[in-house]
Amino acid sequence: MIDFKSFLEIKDLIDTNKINAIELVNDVTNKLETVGRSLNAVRFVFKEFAIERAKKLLEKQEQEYPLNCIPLAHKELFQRLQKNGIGWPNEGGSRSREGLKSDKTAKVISLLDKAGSIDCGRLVSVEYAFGVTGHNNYAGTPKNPWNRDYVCGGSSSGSAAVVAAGLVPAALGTDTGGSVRLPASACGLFGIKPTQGLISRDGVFPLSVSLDTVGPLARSVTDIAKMLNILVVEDKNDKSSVQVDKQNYLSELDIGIKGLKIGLPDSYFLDGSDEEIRIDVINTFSILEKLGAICLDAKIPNIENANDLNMLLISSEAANAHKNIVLEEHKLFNEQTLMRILSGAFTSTQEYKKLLRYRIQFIHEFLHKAFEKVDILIAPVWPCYIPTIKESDLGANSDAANLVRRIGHNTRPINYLGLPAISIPTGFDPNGLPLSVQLIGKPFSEKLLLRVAYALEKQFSFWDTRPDI
Amino acid sequence: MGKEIKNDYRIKILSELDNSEINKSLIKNVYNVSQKQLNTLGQKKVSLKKPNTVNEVFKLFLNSKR
Repeated sequence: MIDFKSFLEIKDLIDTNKINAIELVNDVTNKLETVGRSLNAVRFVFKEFAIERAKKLLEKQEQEYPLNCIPLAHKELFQRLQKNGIGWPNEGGSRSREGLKSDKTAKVISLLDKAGSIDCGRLVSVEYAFGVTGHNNYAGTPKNPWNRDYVCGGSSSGSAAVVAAGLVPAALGTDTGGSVRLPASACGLFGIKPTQGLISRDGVFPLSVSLDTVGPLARSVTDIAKMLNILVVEDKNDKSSVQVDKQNYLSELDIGIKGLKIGLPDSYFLDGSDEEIRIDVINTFSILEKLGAICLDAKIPNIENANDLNMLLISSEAANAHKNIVLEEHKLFNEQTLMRILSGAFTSTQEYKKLLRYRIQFIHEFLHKAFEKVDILIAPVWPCYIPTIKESDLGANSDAANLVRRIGHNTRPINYLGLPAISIPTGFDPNGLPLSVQLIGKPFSEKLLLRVAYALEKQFSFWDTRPDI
Repeated sequence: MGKEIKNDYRIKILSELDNSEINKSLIKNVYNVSQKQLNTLGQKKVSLKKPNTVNEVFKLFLNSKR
């Protein structure tokens, strides 16, 4: 019924009474239960809740809601406490939290409610959002809709699978080291990691208080922009939240990129990526030049250590945030998650303070050097082709540590820098899995990133091809 | 992250790990990874006194570009 349709297409069908909102919810929740579960992407479907919500929205007949009656589903880290006191599961994708319920509603979920969307359920996350491949032996390991033998990437793996399968137009994910961009990229989606502080994390299951960000995944830039219009609000309940001038992320998407200065970093990103990935990034860089951008080599400071320091900051904060449950229930964790959290337990208070202090200094130096002559940087997302579920299921052995480190090579430094970045599908690898690049911007330059992403979307027309669901 | 809690936590974790059924070679791996990352941090010199937050860095940078 709404398979692969955008926000605008669905809204048109609803507004012109071609689709009944209740039938629509029925269809979406049924497909989440069947197709979504066959992809191991769905955790909880709340059909009754969604139908009641559709009925209420129909009674209001409020066509001005930006997402009127549009069904959505999100990563399982986003809490919801219903008005009748029933909390949705808040398990963080982990057996260690089995049966725990939400005690509040996440700010971003409230904002999407106010915009008229219909929340249909929760989608699989890697345990504690702490993993890049998408493996989860408790909640399920989502299969990539483009080829079910392959991973979706993590940790917002369920969100990526369900959007790429066309079941909902967009879904929320979280990104602490690449967890929106890696799955978006593996599944051919646009996924944005916003500037630190732009979108509230209140009511979102925490991994790293310094690095967690919330971002949408969608099949089009326009739908990402529409989500940002709703989600960007200052929130006093999130200490990292900042006030920014109100922007319309939908405006000026189509004014082109003539004269924009786009830089290809002279070190790190391409050096750490496979040859085929490097070629795809360089090809995309050439296309941007043909579209009118001024393409330059960008000199960036040495960010070789940003990947490791980002991992250290995540694990130190995760170890602190979840210390009680790790001590009491360690037998219930996936080995890889447990090991990664525990690796942060060895950080002393003094080292933690230095970690935060050095990060600020590093960001300061990076911004002034990297963006001296360019507006935007281009880089790969995955450093290699998307791996199969089988070959990347390494548990907690020493090869796993190397794989985890490598997969986040291009994404974690951007979280460490707190900067916005968007992943953009560019084509397919020889295995039929999506290829992609990321654009990295100055703080709060999401609007500009969307403009360039939109130009590339028109160029590649990636979603003219669809996975065989 | 208070010092006492943190130290207490480290002791508890190490003792818990010692008594757990977790493969000790995995724990050794984790410890080694952690030490490598902490060594990387140890080599860094922090000289910048201000700004104090990431958002302050952003503001300074954006103002300098105006």
